Amino acid sequence: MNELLASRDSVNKWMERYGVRFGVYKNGVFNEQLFPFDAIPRKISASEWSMLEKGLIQRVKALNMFLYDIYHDKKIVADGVVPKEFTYESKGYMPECEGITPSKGVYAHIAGIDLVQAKDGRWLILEDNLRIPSGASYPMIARKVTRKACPQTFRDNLISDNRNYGAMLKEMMDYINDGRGINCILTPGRYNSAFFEHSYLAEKTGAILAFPGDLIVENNNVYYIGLYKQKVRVGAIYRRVSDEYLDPLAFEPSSLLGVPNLMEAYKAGKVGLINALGNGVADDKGIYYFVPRMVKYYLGEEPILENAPTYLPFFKEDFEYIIRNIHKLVIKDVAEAGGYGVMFGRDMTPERLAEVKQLIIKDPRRWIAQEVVDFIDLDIIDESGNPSPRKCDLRAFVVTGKETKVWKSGLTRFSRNPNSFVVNSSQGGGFKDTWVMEK
Amino acid sequence: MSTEKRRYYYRYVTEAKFTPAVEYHFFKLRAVPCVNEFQRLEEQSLLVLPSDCILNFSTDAFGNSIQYGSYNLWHDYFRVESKGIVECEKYAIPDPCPNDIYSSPSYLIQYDQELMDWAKQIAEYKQEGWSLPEILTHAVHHKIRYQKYETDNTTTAVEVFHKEKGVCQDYAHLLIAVCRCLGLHARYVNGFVLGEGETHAWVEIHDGKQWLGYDATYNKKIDWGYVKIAHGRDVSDCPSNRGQIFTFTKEKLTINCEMREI
Repeated sequence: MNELLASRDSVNKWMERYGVRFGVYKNGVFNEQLFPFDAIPRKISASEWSMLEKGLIQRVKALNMFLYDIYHDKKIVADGVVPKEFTYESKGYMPECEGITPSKGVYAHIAGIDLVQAKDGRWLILEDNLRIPSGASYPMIARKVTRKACPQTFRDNLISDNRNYGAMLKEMMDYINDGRGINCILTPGRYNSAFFEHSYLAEKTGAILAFPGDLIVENNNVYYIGLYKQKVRVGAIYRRVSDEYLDPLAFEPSSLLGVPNLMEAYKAGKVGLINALGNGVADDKGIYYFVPRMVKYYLGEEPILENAPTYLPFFKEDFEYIIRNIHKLVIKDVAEAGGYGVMFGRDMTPERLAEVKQLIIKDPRRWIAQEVVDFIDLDIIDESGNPSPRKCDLRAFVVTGKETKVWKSGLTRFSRNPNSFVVNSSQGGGFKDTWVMEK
Repeated sequence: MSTEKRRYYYRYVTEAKFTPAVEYHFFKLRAVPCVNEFQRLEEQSLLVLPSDCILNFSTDAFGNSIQYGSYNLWHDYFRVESKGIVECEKYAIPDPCPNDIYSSPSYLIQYDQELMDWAKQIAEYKQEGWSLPEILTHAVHHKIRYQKYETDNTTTAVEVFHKEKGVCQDYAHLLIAVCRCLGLHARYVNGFVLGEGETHAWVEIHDGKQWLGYDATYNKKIDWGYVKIAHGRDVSDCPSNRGQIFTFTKEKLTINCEMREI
């Protein structure tokens, strides 16, 4: 282990050479920064992992069933399990997707589920990311580099191999593609915060990295335009462009990142889109509240993994609880992601608290409140070279093709600031390797 | 049920000239009248130039027919001509359970407190023999002054409400907004009206059994003289013509419609 700790600087240097970066927009200026790696791994025992794996598979299955239901029969709304205010009024709901069945019926091919471990050992789900969850490439390359820097560590410890993520993605992409053509990863370009990841995953899955303008639609087929303008049929696109920019003729007309008429090709069943369009309706912070109910509704099972205790001001009882206890709750804007729009009651002045109360009273659908979960600290080596505790979460990657599988690893993120609970990469944190142990 | 029928001839031409010329031009049109319970296409033709462009036909998620495609070679003009004969009954579209997306806020139709208060206030207004949708149509008609070039395709209902100026699309958006504030289902329609000019926009409001047409621009309930192309939550769901070009060019666009009873 000491050998591993001593390797931290060389690992970070290697990653710098590989261009492992994360872009951050702040005040309209784009800056690329390194994503600092901490050498102390998070360890998850085999038995704990097996519980997490079952719970994650169960949750993602239910979410996929929910997405199919919402865009087809809407039984869950008719049966009163999820109110209509949380579906049709959600920003993530896209009526343009009504009645469309994506290739093989899969919506959330790659789900990034964020969890934290409470001090009492329970794992709680913080949020589901079903649109374009990023972050898998960082632990992938960190493992690759640490294996090189200190091979002994990986001989002495029984750590599950995680070098299969590319293969998992490829298997899923081939299944969705169904032999129609090549696989592509569509990137918005090098000014996207996760451009490193797009190129790295293209390399690892053997897919073509396509830029806006490389793909065109003709007679409902999608083609990749190569260097010499030869056209190659595309069967599946792992697109890293968000829904609203994906087809300028169907959505945001000013988008230059999209592929015109891609929506028509998709609707005609001529191309698989990974992830499907319209998934935002299932990973909105408001719908999160209902996911345990979805598990019961669709699978008839008890949820294995719990949500963090959450209140919806939309319901009268919850509303009253929130107004009484706002000073100790965390308030989140349902439409925001990446750690933006998160407010801790205990950090706010009385004036600000009163303002936030007014915001909630005015538009209850827009907010959720959660108990502050006292989640565990993991040690990192801080700038002075000493162990120092930080709040950490875990993003697990769940891949659904023919079957739903969980990658035996994940992205463990920690907050940069010792007093902060916000670990999102866009808020300037770092990451650790996640070791799933064989025993 | 009335079986009275009327026949209309329509012709819609849109023409774009590009300087300099462009390649890889993609388009999506809603240029052909829809077919439903009150409206039938007797004859129709659609001509898109350059004539060797790729043209496909489909239906969007709202049930509108769409015509889309691309032209990948260099060209400096693009022309669409859609014409035909429509046979209409009195305007009404049966629909036992309207979709709730039409009673929820949409991209361009959200509400602020003032707009909600105004909606409640005008709904209380009573007039012998007038239905609620007619009262709302009347109020919206008198709220806005018809003025071109004050608004565009991204103007929201709230902006129109405060600006009190706009064109047919803005009248429609504001009427839909007040309907939805009051819990009614209402949707945006584009199509043709009798006469010459550009395409027109109006509103369909659900009365519990069927969709009926209301035109806030001309302040009336619609019975005859309207040929429907498409509907959506607001104009962003069903524009009649959308194109995408990736090179720098200046586009000169002209649109012309005519419709007459025959």
